[in-house]
Amino acid sequence: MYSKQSKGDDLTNILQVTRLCKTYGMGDAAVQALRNVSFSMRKGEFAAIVGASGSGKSTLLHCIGGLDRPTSGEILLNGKDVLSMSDQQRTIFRRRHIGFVFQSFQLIPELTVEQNIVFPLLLDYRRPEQRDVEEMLDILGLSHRRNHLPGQLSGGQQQRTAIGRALITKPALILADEPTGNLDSASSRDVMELLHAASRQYSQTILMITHNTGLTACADRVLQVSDGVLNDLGGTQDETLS
Amino acid sequence: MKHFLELIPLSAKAHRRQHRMTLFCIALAVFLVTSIFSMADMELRSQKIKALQDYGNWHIMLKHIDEESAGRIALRPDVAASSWYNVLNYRLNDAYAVNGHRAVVCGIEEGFLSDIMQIALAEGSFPAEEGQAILTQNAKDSLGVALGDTVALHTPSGAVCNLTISGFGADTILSAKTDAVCILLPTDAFRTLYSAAAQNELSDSDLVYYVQFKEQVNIPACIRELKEQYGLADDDIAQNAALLGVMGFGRDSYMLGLYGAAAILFVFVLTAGVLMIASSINSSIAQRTAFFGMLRCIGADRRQTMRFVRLEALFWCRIAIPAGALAGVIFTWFLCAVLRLLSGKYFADLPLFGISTVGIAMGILVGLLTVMIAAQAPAKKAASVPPLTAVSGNAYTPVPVRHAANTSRIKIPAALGLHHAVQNRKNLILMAGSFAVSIVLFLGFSPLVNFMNCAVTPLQPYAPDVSILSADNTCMVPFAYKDRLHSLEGVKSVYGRKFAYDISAQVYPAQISSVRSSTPGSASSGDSYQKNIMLLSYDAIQFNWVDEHRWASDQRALEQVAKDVQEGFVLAAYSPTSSVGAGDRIETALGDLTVCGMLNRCPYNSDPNTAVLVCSEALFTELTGAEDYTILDIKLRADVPKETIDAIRAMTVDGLSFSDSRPGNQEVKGAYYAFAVFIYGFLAVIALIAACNIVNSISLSAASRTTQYGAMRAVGMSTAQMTQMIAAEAGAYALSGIIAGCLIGLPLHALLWRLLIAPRWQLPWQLPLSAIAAITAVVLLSCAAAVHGPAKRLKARSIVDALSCE
Repeated sequence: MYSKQSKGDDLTNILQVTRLCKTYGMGDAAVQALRNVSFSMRKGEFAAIVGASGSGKSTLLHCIGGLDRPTSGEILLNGKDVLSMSDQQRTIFRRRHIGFVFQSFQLIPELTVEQNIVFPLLLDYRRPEQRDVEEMLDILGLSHRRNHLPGQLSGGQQQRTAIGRALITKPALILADEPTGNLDSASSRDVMELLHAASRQYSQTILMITHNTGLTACADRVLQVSDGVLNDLGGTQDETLS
Repeated sequence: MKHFLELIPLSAKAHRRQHRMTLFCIALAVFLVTSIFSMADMELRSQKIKALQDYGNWHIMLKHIDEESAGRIALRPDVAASSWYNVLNYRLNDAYAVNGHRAVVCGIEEGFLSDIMQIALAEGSFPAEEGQAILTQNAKDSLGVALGDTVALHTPSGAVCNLTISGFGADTILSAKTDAVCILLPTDAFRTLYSAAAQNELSDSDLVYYVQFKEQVNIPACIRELKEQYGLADDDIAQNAALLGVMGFGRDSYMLGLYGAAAILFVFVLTAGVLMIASSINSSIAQRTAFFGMLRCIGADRRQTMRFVRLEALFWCRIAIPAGALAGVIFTWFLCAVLRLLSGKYFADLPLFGISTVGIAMGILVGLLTVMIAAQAPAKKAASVPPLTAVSGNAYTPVPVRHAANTSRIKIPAALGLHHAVQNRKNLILMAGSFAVSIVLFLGFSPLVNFMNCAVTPLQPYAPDVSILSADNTCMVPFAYKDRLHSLEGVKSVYGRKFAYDISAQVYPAQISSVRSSTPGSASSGDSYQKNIMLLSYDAIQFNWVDEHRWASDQRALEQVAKDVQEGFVLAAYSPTSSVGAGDRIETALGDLTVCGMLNRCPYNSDPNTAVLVCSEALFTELTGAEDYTILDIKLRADVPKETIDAIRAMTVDGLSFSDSRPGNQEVKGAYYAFAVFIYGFLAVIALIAACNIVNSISLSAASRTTQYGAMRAVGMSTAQMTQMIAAEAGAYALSGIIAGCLIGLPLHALLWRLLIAPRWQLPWQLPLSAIAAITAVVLLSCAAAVHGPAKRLKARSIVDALSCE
């Protein structure tokens, strides 16, 4: 399904965020969650966002994913202006071009592992290619659990299923919000390896929020959000963050 | 904050939106009960008005008592009013006449008109001098007299009594229907006339004493006392059963049935209310598990938690109960307005803005009762939340899923929706059960519509407003009158019938007549039988009604009879006592007749030994030679001018008489509307329960899955797909509810049919297709509305907000 690419083969910007602002409330009660945030990501890049609680990390991720509307600014994903789309267009765009991985997995409890993985394709009324599904299950190490319901899985297996769901449409961007937040260390390692593999081997662009500074070691870039202001800390996580 | 329970109003303020649905449910339950009891109260009031109008404001009527006893009764402290009442020639069999018009003579006291019959004089006053009398209003037109004129009353004995008119009273149904003049004389004057009449042994006269008791008096006890005191037999005391019935003293089966129906409905509504409120409070508790875990965590014990939930429910009552009661009162006003709009004259005394204390009191009582019952289970549920829940942050744990949704055959939104509905059997049973309760209620009470149609006959299409009829029932109303009447202003339609009575006939039943026709002379006369027949003709208008209302057993037979000129084709009116049926051949002196079909509704009664046959006008003339009518019925427009009535009346000369059915029709209409508004009001309220319950249930179900829907939207589910998913879930509940409701409701319908209708009218039970269709439509429309609300709310809610809804 995914062909191996070496990092840096394609230097085009997949994501371009320009002067993004988000303000909650009005007047005296107004809170500026994001202040003129600008950055870009190239294809295959794996970036981590760090920051204290309430700093604006999740708001940034939600705005990029089209789950929330910023007050101002511009978001270009694959050259498309996400914010100028209608609600319906944005939904379909999200379904086809953005993959989400949530801290609390957010799997559909009534669907099996396999059904959960192909869920975005089913929403698009597309018939999943069985070969692709088999390959995905194999990559995720869930072939033997394909017919299990989320309630019958461990946290790590549930998060791997969620990653499978995010990858199945071959999206331009994967947004992961604390993907290891609810997992033990072994499962966290598994999940990070999967994300890392997706980024390295399949040139998947990934933007991940984490509280765990240890996990930023896998990332190509680290972005820090503090009081709504984004600072690009540059290359792979260094000692300053540890 | 001095007490932990003071948290309740603060929490209510913070979760205003979340609690809105529970408030609505409580208000709805109160509204329903207030409406039902207020409607029952209004029905009783309208029945009382009807009873007062029909029979007068008296409670008992005493016979065979002397003047002295009557005087003593009048002085009793529990008696509000009393009056002697005497009547001569009530059945118009005797030759009492005023200026050639038949007359009924009544002897009354002044209080009889004002207190007992509550009739105000249209003109003039009660006779103050000897030789004065009051006449009914119709006398003014038929006799052409005015106040102060003198009329001569001729009695059967040949005596003539000159009376001066002191006033005009309202027409009675009798005077309007028969066009007879009613003369009201003071008791003393009447008695002079009566003693003269008594010598001629008039059996149609009587002396009775009407008694009206004061309010709040125990009437049955008073009756027992009077019987003992004056040695009265049961036959000597007649009771105004209709009035005593609505006052709760009677044993009138209709009123007892009404109370019984209200009691059953009350239990059903209470059940529906408890189910509805319990499900709402349950959902509210389920969504706040973490909050109750926190309460337990910081030291609240189980009892305190239960107290918190119960008091919280009562706190909601503070707003919901007055709102529900107010809505119930407004709804009742609306129904009263409908009644007055339908029959303003009949319901003139029904208060437009009447307040039913009983209705409001019951609404409040039931509101509190349902909330207390409904809060029990959720309170226990909240108390059983482990304190660990608050620490783990696992706020809302959905029911564990056992089977995966089937996505291979059904599209994903529908598959998920169906799975949401059926995955939890207990929830499905509860949801389908709550839908089914409303359907069972609707089906259970729909036999009352049939009961109404049987018991309270609506005004039939053939009911005329006025008629010209032959006084001796012969065909003597000129045929030419039909056109003349048509040309009068305000006349809507004119239709006539010709009658031939007591025709001796030999009936050959169908199987014999067929043998007979194939082999003439083979049937013996012993196989046939003798029967008297009454032949009457219908004109085109009447045949059209038969056709429109499907009163004929066979459409072809109807066409044959309507067009027949000389073949002898007739329709036989169905009667349980007549064996004449379709295919029978009837030999009469007028000619041979063939019964082509049956007529299942015919307004003309005959004695049980007489068969009623209907033929065309042409055939009637062919058989009897009679061109003219026995009766010409006239339907009038509402704005008919008085001149038209005068002109019609003027046509009734030489053995013809005039009959005005309008007052009687008004009464029939009024009675029907009162019952219809009550029954359909009930059914509408039940349908409303169904609709609100469905909307509420679907909304709560959708609200409980907000986070899941948020996740689905985050990974690309569109609003339309989300709507399809909720619609599939609602559809599954509706379908299972309809099936369960019909499975329970239909046997209940059949049972009530057997109890209410079958014994009295011998009608076989029929599948209530229209009721099923109506409630199914209500359920499906409510489902559509139920889906729209949550879908709209979820769409308006941001995905981020939905995801963090826990």
